[in-house]
Amino acid sequence: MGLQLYDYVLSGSAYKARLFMALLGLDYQSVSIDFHPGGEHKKSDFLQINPAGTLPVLVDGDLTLCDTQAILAYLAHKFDTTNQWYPTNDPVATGRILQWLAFAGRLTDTAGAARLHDMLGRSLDIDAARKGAHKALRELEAHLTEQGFRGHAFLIGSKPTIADIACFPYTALAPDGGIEHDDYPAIRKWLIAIRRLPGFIEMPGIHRLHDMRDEDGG
Amino acid sequence: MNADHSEFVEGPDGWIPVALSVDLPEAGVMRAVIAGAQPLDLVVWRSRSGQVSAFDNRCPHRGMRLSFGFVRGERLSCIYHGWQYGEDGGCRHIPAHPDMTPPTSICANTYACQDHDGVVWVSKGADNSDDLPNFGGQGLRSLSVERGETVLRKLLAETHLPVSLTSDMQMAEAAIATQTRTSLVLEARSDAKNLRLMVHFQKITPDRTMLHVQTSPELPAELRISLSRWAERFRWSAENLGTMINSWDATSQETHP
Repeated sequence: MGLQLYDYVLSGSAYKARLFMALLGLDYQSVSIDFHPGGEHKKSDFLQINPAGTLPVLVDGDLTLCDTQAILAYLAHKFDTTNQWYPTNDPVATGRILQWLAFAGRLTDTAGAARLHDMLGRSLDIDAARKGAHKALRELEAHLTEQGFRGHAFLIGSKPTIADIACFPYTALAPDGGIEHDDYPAIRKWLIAIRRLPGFIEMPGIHRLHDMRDEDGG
Repeated sequence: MNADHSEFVEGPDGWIPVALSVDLPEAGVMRAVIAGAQPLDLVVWRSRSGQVSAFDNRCPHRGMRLSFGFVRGERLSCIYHGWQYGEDGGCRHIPAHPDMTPPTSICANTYACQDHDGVVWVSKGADNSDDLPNFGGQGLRSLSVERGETVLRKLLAETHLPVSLTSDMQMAEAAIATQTRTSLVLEARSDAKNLRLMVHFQKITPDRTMLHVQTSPELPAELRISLSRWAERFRWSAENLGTMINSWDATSQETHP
């Protein structure tokens, strides 16, 4: 049996797994979970699979992974023959990647939370969520600015890694939660660099670069 | 509201910096907000051939933000129904009526826009680039600060800048070399030659400012990184100085040449 992804189309976290599998050229079976309005991820059938009640979940044979960043690391280890996306033979790169994977959790908890509030009416402290998101985006902007001086387009170096995939969706989707990209020119350039990657796929709210489409293709 | 708040936008030839040129690449689209009695919400975009333009950030069709749009060659296309506008703001193409020549009455509201000396400038009034500065700087970064411009000018006058490349970073006192309506030039003496830092001010609100920072050209990457970190520290100080700063804001009546 191949890869199975418990998925929800509007989930930025599930999109990390979908995007990475697309970039790696992997086939998988998608199992759609009615996150909203059904709340299927909090019901007993799904809790048997993931007691935490979160999406996405990746199943590969006997293995079930319920953490998005762990899914990215596993997929890179198992399927990336180039060793580009998670170069574990390089301790410095590994340490840096793990740091940005943890940072991606902060983006989910702030920018992602603000988006849930604005889009799906989730009850939470929206001011705190937006403030936390801007604080995180300032850190990301400062780092990407320095990377630019080093001639590096991505978080770790000149090539994208799973750190970029982990941080991309909730940064790109931040305006859905009232967090604009206006203040962050280095982030805007990085978002375009990721959207330019061969094999890039869209999700609602994150579209392909229009200048890479045909004039009438829409 | 700050005493010096409106003069920056109301003058007929008031150029306002909205971005470093390097941050608006070909086919790039961005939003820029400028404070004023009537704040401006603009889309600023660069065509394939490199021409920069600024419009009111609403599509004449349905009011969608044009900054969500994208560039097609020499036109800006709205994300909503794909209406396309030329650099003069005139509608060139309506996808739902592909054979129709759009009437000239369909036109985005335009502003003068210039890419000059490494900075993208916007003006509500006359399009006279003679008024723009020529500092010859290289773009460092733009960053927003939750403080009014007057306070930031005062704090910049007292700053120290990193000037050396060694790990025990040398800081040198910086002096204001030039100060204009939109910009401030700091100069610090380093071993080799004078380090210059050009700071261009874009008021977002009376209490919020975008700083567009340039440096002397061709600095090594290590020094640019140090200067970027200096900018982070400068922002932190500006945003965390508290009540003393607020009283400066309230009492300041300064104007600049």
